[in-house]
Amino acid sequence: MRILLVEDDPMIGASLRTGLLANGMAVDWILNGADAIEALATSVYSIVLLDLGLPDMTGLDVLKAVRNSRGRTPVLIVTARDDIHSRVTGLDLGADDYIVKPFDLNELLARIRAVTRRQSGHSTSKIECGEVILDMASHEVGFRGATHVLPAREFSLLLGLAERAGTILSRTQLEEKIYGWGEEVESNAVDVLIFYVRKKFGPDIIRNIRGAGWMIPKDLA
Amino acid sequence: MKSLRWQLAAWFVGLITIIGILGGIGTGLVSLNEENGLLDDQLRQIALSVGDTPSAAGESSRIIAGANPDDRIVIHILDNQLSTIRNSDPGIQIPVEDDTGFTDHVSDDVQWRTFTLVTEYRVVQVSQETDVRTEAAFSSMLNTILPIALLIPLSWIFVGWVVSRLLRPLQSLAVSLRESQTGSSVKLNSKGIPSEVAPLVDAMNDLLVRQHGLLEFRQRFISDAAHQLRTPLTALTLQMENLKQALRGKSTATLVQHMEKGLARMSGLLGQLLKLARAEDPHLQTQAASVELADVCRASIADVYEMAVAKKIDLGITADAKVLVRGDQLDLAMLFGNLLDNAIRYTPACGKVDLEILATGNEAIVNIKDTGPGIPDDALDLVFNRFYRHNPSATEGSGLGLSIVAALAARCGADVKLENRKDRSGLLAQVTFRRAAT
Repeated sequence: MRILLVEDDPMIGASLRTGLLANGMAVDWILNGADAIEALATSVYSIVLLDLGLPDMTGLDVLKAVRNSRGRTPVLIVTARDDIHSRVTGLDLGADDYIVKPFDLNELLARIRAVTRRQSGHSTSKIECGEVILDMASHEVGFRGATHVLPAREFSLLLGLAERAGTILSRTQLEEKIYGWGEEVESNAVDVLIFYVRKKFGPDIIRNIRGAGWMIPKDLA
Repeated sequence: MKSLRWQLAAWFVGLITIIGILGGIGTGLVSLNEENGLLDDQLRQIALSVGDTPSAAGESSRIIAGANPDDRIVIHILDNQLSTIRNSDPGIQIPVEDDTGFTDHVSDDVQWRTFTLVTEYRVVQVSQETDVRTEAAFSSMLNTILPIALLIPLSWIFVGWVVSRLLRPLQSLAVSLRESQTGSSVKLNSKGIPSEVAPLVDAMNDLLVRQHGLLEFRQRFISDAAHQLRTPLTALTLQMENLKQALRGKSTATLVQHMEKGLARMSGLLGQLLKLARAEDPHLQTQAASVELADVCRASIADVYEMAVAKKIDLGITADAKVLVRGDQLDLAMLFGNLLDNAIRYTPACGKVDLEILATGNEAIVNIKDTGPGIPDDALDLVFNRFYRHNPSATEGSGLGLSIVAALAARCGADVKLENRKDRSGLLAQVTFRRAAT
């Protein structure tokens, strides 16, 4: 995997390159925005790690320039600015993900994997979240080695939770996801569905938070 | 503390009262004197009109008949042989004088004022009871004093009004000073301020501007420093991982683990510092909206869920009233997140953390209860101070969590209170909001 690292800080650049090389990646390290745009125009990379604070222009300008010239290379923004505004601006301009300093090398590697996997396109019908893998086409669900094809309602329950992994959904919110308007819903319908799902995969697949609802944890590592 | 208003009022009232009393006494005495002179003139006029006419008897009887008995005037007419021609009240013995002039006599314990007129033909003595004269003089004196006596209390009211009117600009100054400490308008308005106070206002404005600048500087410094620290810290973290990989399998690898922990702690502290800087930033544009409390609380619980699971802590919601509050969603999530983080951090393994959302008339309350050791009552107020940690060796907190909570609560207009649980050991964190309109 060939990575373009755009980072003006020599300490971070050098140690990031060492870390990425140690994990079997090829790294081109560039210190300013103009060179980064040129490198992207001439070479093909699997992913760009883009710092926002560059000496000649902001990382967002680089991102804009690349996206305007129809460059499709995935971009992962690496920045010390973690306010919501710059995060949203970055994602709106076509960045694929966002990681805030200080970060862990393992976290960065996980995000690189996630972004490139999404990009490669062979997983379009699959949603992966933590240990749960859902195949939208076949309604097949995998969890800790076990794989089952689920009935529609059980699948939509898991899908509802997986789409918002790391978020606790209340009973009402889950009912809204599983059942259509005007459908008669038994008061324990959600519990029954969860019971069947857990029977197939073990209790850990859906976490219950007392009084609050249910959740599938978001797990990046 | 001395009140300028009361001092001014007291001095003015005192001064006016003293002047009034002295003036009253003065005019009273003058009018007393004048009245006595008038009455003396009256006696002389009567004597002259009786003495100068040839037919003394007729004239005197007309005057005597026309006299008011209340005036208590006695007219005694004698011929040049000093035998009585006529006496209007023979029962009163007043000795006859030889010369023309005023004299005072006492007859039967009554004091008389007498005018004696000695002419060629006769002697006329006109006497008046002194008491009657005094009475008349005093009543005339009272008439002159009365308006002054009435004016004194009126002047008190006037003084009070004038003084409070003059000092009103000072009061409004105090009000605007109090407001300027919380609001954004830095300078005090010096419009309508008396010229004597204007230099004070200018000096205060200078001070306010400087203080505001210092606050901004501190704010910016914390934020800038924290941001600047991020880069070297990131580099260190990465280098540490590279080192760890290089040392894999060697005996020195465990040494790196300690350094890694220290680094993680520093990253945590830095993160908290940035959060605090952001929570206290007055210029930060937050997006206040009506937020369903239960949604925010569920999000905060999801954030700390893994931490609770790792400590086998039973985390849950015991009451979730449907209630809207006004605030920035991210601010609120961080507020509850910090409180839950503390609750889980300080609760021993296998403990319990409960969150409840209650709605009363116009308030929304979120209670977070843990089963930890609580905080000694005397430290309950201190824990909101920056870097204060009640038990520094116990856990690896930054000492900033509750400062962030306080700043966020202030921005949402909420109230945070910590107290020890009464039913068992543990801490109750209570956040009180005003309900938003639905």
